[in-house]
Amino acid sequence: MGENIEFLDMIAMAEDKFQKEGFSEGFSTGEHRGFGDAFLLGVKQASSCAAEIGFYRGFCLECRKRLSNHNMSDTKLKICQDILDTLEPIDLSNCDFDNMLESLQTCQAKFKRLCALMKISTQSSRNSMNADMSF
Amino acid sequence: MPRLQCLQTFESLNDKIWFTCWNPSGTILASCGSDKKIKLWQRGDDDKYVCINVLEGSHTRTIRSISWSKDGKFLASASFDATVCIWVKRENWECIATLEGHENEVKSVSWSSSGNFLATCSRDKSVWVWEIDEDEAFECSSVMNSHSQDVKCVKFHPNDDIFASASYDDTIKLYKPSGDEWISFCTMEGHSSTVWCVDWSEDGNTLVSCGDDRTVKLWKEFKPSIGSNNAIWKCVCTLSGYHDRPVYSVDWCHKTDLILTACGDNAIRVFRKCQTDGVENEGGLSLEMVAKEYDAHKEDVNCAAWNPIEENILASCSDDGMLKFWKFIDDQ
Repeated sequence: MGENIEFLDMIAMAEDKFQKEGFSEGFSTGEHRGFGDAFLLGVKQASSCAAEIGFYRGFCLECRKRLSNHNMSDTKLKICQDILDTLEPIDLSNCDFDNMLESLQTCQAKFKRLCALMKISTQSSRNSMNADMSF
Repeated sequence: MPRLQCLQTFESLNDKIWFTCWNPSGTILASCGSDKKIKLWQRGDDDKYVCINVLEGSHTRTIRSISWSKDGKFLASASFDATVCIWVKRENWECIATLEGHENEVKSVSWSSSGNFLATCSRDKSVWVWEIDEDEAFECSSVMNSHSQDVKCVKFHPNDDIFASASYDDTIKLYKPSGDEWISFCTMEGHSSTVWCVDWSEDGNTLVSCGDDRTVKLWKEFKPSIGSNNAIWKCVCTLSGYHDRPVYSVDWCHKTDLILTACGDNAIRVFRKCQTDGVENEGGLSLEMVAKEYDAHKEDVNCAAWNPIEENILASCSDDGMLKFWKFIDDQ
């Protein structure tokens, strides 16, 4: 009699049990895929940030050299130096570097000003380096 | 009872008129819109306003905003084509410079009272300051990414080299020069939606703002306490319940101290600042409505502006393509 009651309980609880198991399995699969997607997104955004930092650094180093050779405007030279100084402390090997996005935003604004002073468009200066850059 | 009387109406078929403003001497009104033209209006001998000039050919998209320099010699125009044009009156009006740099639509432009600076803002979320040298050359002196969204309006202080910006991020920010750049030194939070427009009182100690939340707010400067460098700006009055749709423009008359609003409910309204019984009172200031014109236009009123010299004369413009001249008749 006792065994029959236990068996009936199992049938009655089966739906609940399978629902829980299904949820756990689905959650685990979703979590696994989510981590994968998040990793890929992180890689993409980090590479975009690094490419932008590299672009500003390269642009400003070359610009500083040319402006110094031609004794050009102090303002442009100063902005180049400001951008380089802002980028200098960024540790590209440390993704937890606190001020990276803030520094990048400062550089974006300064770069726009530099382009306006040099009478070139920010877009064309980027395109000359790499047509696929998104920043 | 105070009221608004329509003096004249001009219709521009199929074109929205976005902005209108008077020159500092109050003799010429400039208007602009989706027809990519700036029209200048002046009162003729018969006391009627007529279009005296059309400035065109420099912008390729809608002209969203215009600003006169304090001496009235220059006119700056901001356009959805991402550029700002500088116009000067010689024999004819000529475009002497096109300022490029914004990534997309320029929404607003404002000239400083000193005449040395021009502020612009854009959908690209940035605010730019341009410096003008003696040779009438314009040089970018700062780019600021202080707002997190589209910037709708910039307006210089009436006396000092300080300006305010209003944004889709629901905030107002103030800027001042610092070294050879400009910095944002104050953020005013209080609107619950887009801030469309700001304007200063005559002494520059109070700011009025309006927005998508259908309110008009007054912000007052409180001098810095000992040990602090920056003054604090606080909201001292919120006017709600009067506008049925977003308020797109606000203009503070420096002669009469009256505040004019242009609203998406097709109406223009006039408010008076008072110290005692008013609509709402938070810190000594309140506003009372003294006149309204519900059907001022057939569609959204985009802008309304007081004549800075001739008391109680104003102009309004709208999506309905109409430019209207009004007289505020104050029987009090």
